[in-house]
Amino acid sequence: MLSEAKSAPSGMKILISGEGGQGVQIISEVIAKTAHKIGKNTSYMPQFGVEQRGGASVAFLQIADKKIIYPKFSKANIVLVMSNRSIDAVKQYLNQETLFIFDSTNIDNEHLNQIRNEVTKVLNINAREWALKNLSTKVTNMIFLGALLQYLPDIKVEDIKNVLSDKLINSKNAELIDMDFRAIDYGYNIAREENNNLNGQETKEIENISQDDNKTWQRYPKFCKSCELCIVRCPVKALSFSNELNYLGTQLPQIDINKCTACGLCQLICPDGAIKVTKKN
Amino acid sequence: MTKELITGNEVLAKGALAAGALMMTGYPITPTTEMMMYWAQNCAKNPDLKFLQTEDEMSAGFAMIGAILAGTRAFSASAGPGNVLMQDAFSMAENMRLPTVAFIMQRGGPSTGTVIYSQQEVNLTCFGGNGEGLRIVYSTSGLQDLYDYAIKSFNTAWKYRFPTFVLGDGYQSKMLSDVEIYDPKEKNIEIIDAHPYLLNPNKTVDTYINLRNTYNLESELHEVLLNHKKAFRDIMPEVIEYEDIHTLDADIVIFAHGIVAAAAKDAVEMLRAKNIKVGLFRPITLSPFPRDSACQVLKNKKAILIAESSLGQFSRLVLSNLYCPENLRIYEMLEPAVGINSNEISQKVEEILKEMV
Amino acid sequence: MIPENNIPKSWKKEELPHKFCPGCGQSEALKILGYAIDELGIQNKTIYASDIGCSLLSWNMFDVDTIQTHHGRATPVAVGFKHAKPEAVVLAFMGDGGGYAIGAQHLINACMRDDKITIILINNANYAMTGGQMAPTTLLEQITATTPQGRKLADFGLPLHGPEMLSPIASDNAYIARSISNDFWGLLTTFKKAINNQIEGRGFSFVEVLSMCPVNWKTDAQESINFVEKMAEIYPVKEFKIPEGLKC
Repeated sequence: MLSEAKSAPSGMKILISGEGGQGVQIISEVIAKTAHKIGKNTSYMPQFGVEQRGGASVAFLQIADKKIIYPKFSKANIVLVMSNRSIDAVKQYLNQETLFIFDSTNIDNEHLNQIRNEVTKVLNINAREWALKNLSTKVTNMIFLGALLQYLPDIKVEDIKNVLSDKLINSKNAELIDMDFRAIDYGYNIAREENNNLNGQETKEIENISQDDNKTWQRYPKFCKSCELCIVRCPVKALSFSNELNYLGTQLPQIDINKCTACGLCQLICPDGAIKVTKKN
Repeated sequence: MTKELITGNEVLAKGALAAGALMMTGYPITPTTEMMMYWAQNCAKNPDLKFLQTEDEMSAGFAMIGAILAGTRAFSASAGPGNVLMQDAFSMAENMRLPTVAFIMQRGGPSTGTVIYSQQEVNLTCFGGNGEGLRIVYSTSGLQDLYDYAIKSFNTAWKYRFPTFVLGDGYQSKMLSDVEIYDPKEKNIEIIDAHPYLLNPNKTVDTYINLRNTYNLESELHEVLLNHKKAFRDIMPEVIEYEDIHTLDADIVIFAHGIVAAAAKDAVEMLRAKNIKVGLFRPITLSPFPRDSACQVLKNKKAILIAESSLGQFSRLVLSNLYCPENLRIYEMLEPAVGINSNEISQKVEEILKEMV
Repeated sequence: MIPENNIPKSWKKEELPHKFCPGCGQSEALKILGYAIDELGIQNKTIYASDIGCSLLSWNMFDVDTIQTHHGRATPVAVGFKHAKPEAVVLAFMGDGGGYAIGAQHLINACMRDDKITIILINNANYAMTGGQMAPTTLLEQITATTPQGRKLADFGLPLHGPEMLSPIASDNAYIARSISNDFWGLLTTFKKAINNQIEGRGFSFVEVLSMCPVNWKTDAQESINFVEKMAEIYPVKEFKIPEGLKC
């Protein structure tokens, strides 16, 4: 199966989709630049709405030996999906030959049901969960970048890393580059074989209500965007990041209820309305 | 009904009043300025009427849109460079199906050009902005037309909800002549209601209207525009207007619009008196264009003459809409920025006939 | 008193989460605006006109009647609506591009005419939606996508001070202020005053809100707060014009 995808005669057509801010465009750009460097013809076109962050973000990526003349295509060899909402945006590009790659630790079965009859080839990657446990959710996209390289035999992992280093050369965070590389390696290794397992998450509420006799503190994972303002501005430093994730796949805040004075500042300043503090009488 | 001796600018203001318009926005520009002055004088007498002199034509266009959203029959007027700026607002009106009404009195261009006359704003008025030309454009041929179509433009706009234009020129707006002024009721013209888009007093308390012109996906905008196009096509039979004069037995048909069509009408009469078989086809709606009727007219004709005060804006519009028979000869009389009178047209027709013999 | 609800009543619940980036000061300001609308009880008589730029993301954020306009043109749409329907509460929401650059003539003339509308302008020192280019409000030496070496006085002049520019041409009926998105109570009071000035039929009102843009500033939460506080040193947070008798 792997070899079929590899030997697609008219080149590779890859569609990558996620929430704006998940890094869809970066991995597409890095692959395109690397392909160009090794002498392939390539085309990468971003497509997104008006939001800088949030909303579906889609990338059309093509790599071929012959010249590529049109930036879009009707069916993809590979469709990669990082978030629930973005499944909508990719449905029309699937056929029985398409390899469907998705994050089984971020996508609900409820959403996968939409395409269950469309796909036969599946690669299921526990990207977000692994990233959270081992590195940081910031590098989830790099796991997928690594995984894609299994299907692009002409592109070496080293070539990708070189292009990525050039891109990040001015980055303030040298640690991030190292994490990116480790994530790429993990993705590359885990993608050695298709697992044909189209199972995702069961939808679950991860609301968290902390309370004691005097107060309750509640968070809303469907609204929270992990901006960290509540954590930074809490006057008694009662807030910190937890290991539970919000709808964007980034970390939710948690409260140390013993430290909390129920001043309510976190509720007031949360730009997303994701925190509620109630004093009990 | 009274016969009054007034200028075209006054005629338009009176037409707007007769149509129940309550608000005008605008920035002074020749040859439309007197319309504003006349409207402002009426506002001083009637507190229900409003006039907003804005900082530029963009503001005039968008303030008109603001008033329309509130359910007020509002209009603006402009010309030349002002028409260019106002296209920003018309583009929004086209996207959101807002019933803007604008009286465009063409002046010479490009650039600041001349201040009174031309027919060089056909492209801009019919197709301006980053849109698809889903607009209704009436080209008037004289002062009576200005009055009739000023009234009609508000009804068309509010009934069909496409941006609507009365396209005249400085000859018409500056000219002083006799006009029949009437109350629309006398002619059984029903004035169409203006419903607010926002803050509708009849709405149920819990529904709120959020209007947009920006879309996230190509496919979303595609669908919106196909719906607009379908709506536009559906209203075409009701909206399209044209004048057909002696074309049935004619050998040669003149195509002209606006004030040039008035001259052409005169020319046809002069030529018919000499037993020359000539006719006139005058589209009144430049958009939507009376394509089917224009094509019908071409049957058994030897030649057409397209006459206009521009380097071919109207001619392109005509030719793109006609299926011309193979042996039909096409002549053009393109006189940018200057008027064309009936003698010049009849002379041209006679020259053509000589050449064809 | 902390509001009972974590989300303003006038926010449209079914459109949450809203479309703004994590940590966006604009969304903080819009949340506070929501509470102001709630407290004043004007949900049913308000229209909200948004500009283009990040401000357009708020087009369906509120349960009030709203209209998305063109870039720079929220002000004239609001002015036209107010003239046609004076009893409506008309809000125009825009960024520093919409108000101080592409639509500056409308802002100045609405202020000069004393149009009885309320303009809320977000100053985040850059053009955010298009990816962080220089704005009229970009600070000297601030690096943006179009000033890679920092904004230079010789090339681009001084950062624009909007309320300071408007105050001398405003009538004594105008309310003009600058506030900051981080200050919940301060901004809430400012919004309420600005809207009350309109409701009371007095005159023009304008609030500039200093606001954070972590995505384009490339700052984390603490750095964003530091930056907007630095902005407040250059752009003083205060009331520039307060009409006599204005209720709060």
